[in-house]
Amino acid sequence: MRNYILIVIGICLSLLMILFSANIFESIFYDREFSNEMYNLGLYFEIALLDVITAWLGAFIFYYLINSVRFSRWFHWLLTMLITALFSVATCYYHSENVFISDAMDFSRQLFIFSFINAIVECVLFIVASFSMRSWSSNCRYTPIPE
Amino acid sequence: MRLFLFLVGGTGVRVMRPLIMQLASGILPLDVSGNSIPLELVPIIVDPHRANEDLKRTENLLRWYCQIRKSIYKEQDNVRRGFFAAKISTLKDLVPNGNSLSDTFIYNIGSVESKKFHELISFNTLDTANQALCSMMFSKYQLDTKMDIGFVGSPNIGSVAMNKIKDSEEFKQFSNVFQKNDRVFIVSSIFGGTGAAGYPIIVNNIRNAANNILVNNKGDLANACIGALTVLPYFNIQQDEKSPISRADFISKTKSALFYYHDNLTGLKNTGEDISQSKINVCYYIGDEVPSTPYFNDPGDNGQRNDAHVVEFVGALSILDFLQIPDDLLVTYNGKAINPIFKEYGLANDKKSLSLKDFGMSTRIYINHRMIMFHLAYMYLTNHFNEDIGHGYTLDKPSLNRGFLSTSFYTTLTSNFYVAYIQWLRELKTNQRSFVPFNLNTSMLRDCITDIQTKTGFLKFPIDYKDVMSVMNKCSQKASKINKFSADDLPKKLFELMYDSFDKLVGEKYNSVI
Amino acid sequence: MKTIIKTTACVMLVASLTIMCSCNSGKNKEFNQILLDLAEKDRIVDYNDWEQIKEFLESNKNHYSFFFDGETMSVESIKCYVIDFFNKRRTPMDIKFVGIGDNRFLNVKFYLERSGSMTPYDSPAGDGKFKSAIVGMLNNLPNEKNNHKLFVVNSSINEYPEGIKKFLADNNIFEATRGIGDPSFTDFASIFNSILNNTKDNELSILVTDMIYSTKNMNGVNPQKVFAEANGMTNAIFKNRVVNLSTLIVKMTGSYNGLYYSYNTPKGKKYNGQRPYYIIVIGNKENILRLTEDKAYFSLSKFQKLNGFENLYLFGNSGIYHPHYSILLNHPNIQGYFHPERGQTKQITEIKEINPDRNTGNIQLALAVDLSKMFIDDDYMLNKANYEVESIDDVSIVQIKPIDKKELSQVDKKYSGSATHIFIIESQNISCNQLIKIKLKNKIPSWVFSSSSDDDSDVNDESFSSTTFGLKYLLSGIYDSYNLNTDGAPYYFELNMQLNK
Repeated sequence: MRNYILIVIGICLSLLMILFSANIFESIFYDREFSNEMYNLGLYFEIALLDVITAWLGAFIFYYLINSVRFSRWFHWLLTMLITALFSVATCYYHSENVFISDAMDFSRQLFIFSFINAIVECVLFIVASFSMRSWSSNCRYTPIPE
Repeated sequence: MRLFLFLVGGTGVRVMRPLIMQLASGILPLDVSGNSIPLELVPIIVDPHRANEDLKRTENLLRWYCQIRKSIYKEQDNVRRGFFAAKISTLKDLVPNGNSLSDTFIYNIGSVESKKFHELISFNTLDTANQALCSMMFSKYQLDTKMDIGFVGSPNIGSVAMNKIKDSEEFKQFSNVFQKNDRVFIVSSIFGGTGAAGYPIIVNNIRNAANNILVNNKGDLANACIGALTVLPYFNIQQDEKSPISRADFISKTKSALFYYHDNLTGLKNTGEDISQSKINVCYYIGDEVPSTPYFNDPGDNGQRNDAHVVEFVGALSILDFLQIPDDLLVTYNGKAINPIFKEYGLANDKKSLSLKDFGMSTRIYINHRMIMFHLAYMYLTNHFNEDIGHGYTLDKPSLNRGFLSTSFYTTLTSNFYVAYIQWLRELKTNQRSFVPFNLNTSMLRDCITDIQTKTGFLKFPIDYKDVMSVMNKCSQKASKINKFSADDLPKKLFELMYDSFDKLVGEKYNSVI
Repeated sequence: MKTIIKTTACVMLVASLTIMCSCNSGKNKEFNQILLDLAEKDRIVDYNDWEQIKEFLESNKNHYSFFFDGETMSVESIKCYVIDFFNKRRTPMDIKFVGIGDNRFLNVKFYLERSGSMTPYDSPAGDGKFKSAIVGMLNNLPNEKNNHKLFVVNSSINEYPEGIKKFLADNNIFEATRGIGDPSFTDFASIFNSILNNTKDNELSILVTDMIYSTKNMNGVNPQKVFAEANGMTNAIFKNRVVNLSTLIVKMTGSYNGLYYSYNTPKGKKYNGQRPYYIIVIGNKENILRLTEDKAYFSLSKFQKLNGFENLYLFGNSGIYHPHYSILLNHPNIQGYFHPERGQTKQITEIKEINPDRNTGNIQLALAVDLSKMFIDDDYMLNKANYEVESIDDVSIVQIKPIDKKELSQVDKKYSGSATHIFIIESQNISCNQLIKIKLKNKIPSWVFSSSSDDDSDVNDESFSSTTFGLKYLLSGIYDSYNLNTDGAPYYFELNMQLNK
């Protein structure tokens, strides 16, 4: 029962992240022009969606595809989280940069700062996804911490 | 099914050791359709030689086995699968108010043990003629032998002393608790004193229960299913001029005993003709031509302690084999077994050093899987379990924490039982023929079984402890979903998980173990 | 576990759908690329763009059967598609259609006043400005000259049978039209009436006139009465037609070499010098707007470039223009803090969380506005006094200056688009949510008054060379009819900004 509650909460949090992506990102970092463009070009939404998908995918890979005793300690989990975050952030950066370039805009500096925030958000999402889905994993259901 | 197992003399006691290991591995008798039969074993050690080291070791093993089993299964009978599934009880356990018995597996043979032989037969009170007859039949040494070192390879002493059995409290209680479907099995050596003499006496006392005013269940006892393992000479002893025991005697003693058995025990005559009846339902004979590493020549008074031997291991299998013979093949009428069965054992490969692969097919099918499982479990608990605590399945409720390592269950298992287990394996290895089922010089799972390799291939790595944990995790996950174990079920949890996991792993990770 | 499998399945489904949707068929991609090439830059689909679109669709008729109603192409559905396509892009934009289909060119009816007071403009002794302006204007018409008609007007309206080509070829433009109608007076009532009633939807009427209102016998008549009559006449004629029609009046100057007939000297006085004359362009609203939007008519619309151009003024209904404007997000003149409201993809007009600058205590916003493509004089547009600001708090225009693209960030460039000027708007405080309206008032420009005289009897007067007798009465008559039904002061355009606390 507890496991089902956790996954429902996880899904809800992820959906909220997608739904309120702009508010969440802007509450952490706001730059008038950059934030406005991010919103108008739909990038907040896309990045949040990508974040959520990669976080859940990363967690899924860790907990169900790898699902290995050899790769089940907290530092393995941490490594997976960092790789997921790096992948997600790099993809988001590359994607956003491309969108901006196609619109003849240069926001490299802001994007760089934003990427840090995005990395944190991605990590939080990864944690949410981890705790939502881990209980069904045979080898990693107590990773990173038992309860 | 309940079996009263009489272990007579030093060899009988030694056969108990491998049997305990086999039972600990979860080997149970199988019925005709291959299902496990729950087993309750009541070992009765008949050996006046109390100081015998082998006896002490066996008794300890039995005690530890019982403690461990009790921690795992509580008082549960009818356990059909798992390590330590068979229940081992003392006679006292079976008697509702058996306060007059001591809680031990060792048969107290009246007052025999404390006396010298001449005292036992009241030599001094005999008239001169009888004294002279006695002096002819027994040597001076024999008359002066103190009975607590056994019958020092002298069946002539044993046959006199063992007759006291039928009057003992143990025999009375045994007859009380004996039920129709119970079976009796007697293990003895033919070439010694206690065994060779005790075996026919025990059989006769059971078959003649009708004439014994002290016992109950006379009919059931008289017609009980009796199996017997007669161990023929298999070990060598150092030549010692001064010792009453010598290997040269073994053969002649064996011959004469066999003749005696043939006429009075295993083969019966009717008006001088052999008839297909016997006092024993199933007779097992085992021995080995290859002489063992010479044992230190010790008649018993310095604490007889002999290394385990593969013959004992095979001998123990005869007990399980006996339990698997269906009732309708073991008909006894008027204390006489109809169509008795006689069995010997042969190896598949006649080698100086045996592995699990060298037994015959049916043995391999029957025991190899379980023995390997048990050894892997031993390897895991000894080498790796420590590291897994606090991870994976150990965290499932009820959780196995470090405190578990200091429970009496765990210390009994690892500090006592496993130590004895590995000691037993070492002895098997150093003896002649050497029996080396497992590689004792490794702490890895991949090479711990002799002659059986782990499966490898592309992206398929040899088994290691992580694989164990992985399977344990899966099994534990299933179990905790249905809250299978309660908080005081920790030993059961660990052992059931190990049993299920290794059951799976042996099949998955090793090339054919049969 | 089942939940996880389901979740995974959903994610994969969404992912695969996204991939499938993004894989448009090659044809659609090609079509969309054509649209981008044609219209992304200028945001206008003109005749040539349209022809290319048509050609593509015709050759891929099978694939685009939904654009066809049987054999005929459905213009509306294609327009819808194009508008929709550009609106749904990551950077949405509005697309205008000009001159598509059969409306490639406007047909021009050219009315040339040939009264006695007109011929001296083209006197051989003059400087030729008049002729060069007229010829230049007619040459700027993009299409075949034969589609246009030339009328000679004075007491009556007569079509010039030889056509514009011949007219342009003539040395002396009035020579060719000599003898048509009665040149002694100009019947503005019937001329305007005819023009207003006969200018069809795809037509433009251009009248070249000196705008001197005269009746048949002016001698001894009180000029004020003439003015009142002129005023009443234009008012009466225009008021029924102003809903659809716009009227542009361009004041020109040319040399005048000949007799000038002032209101009280029917014999005329010799005058040799500069005199104003007027080009009046009348067409329906869309066509007048098209002149500045359709590339084909750009050169025609540049009246400023005609030789002798002075001023111009457009009569139109309030709100005739809708210039593009946007609040800039990053401009040196900005003071204070604000956030743009979300979701403004084409222009920024709503801002929130406005706070004054910590140093100056001021709120100063920069509003980029496209003041091009309008028939309004620059000095009128750039005079902040001509703007009216409606707001709750005290908001004022500090400055209107041409845009310096170098000062704009890339984002601001995107939103300001074609903007030509920056309005600096200032306020001490924004106390509550409010809509700020900035309107460019539509007043009769001062040049009309300075170009009008009540007495033209003295040809030697200093102002004679630049004034027209009774001009303001004629024009105010038109002005009044345009603003008959307007609430409040008439205006050209309004810029709305929503400022939220």
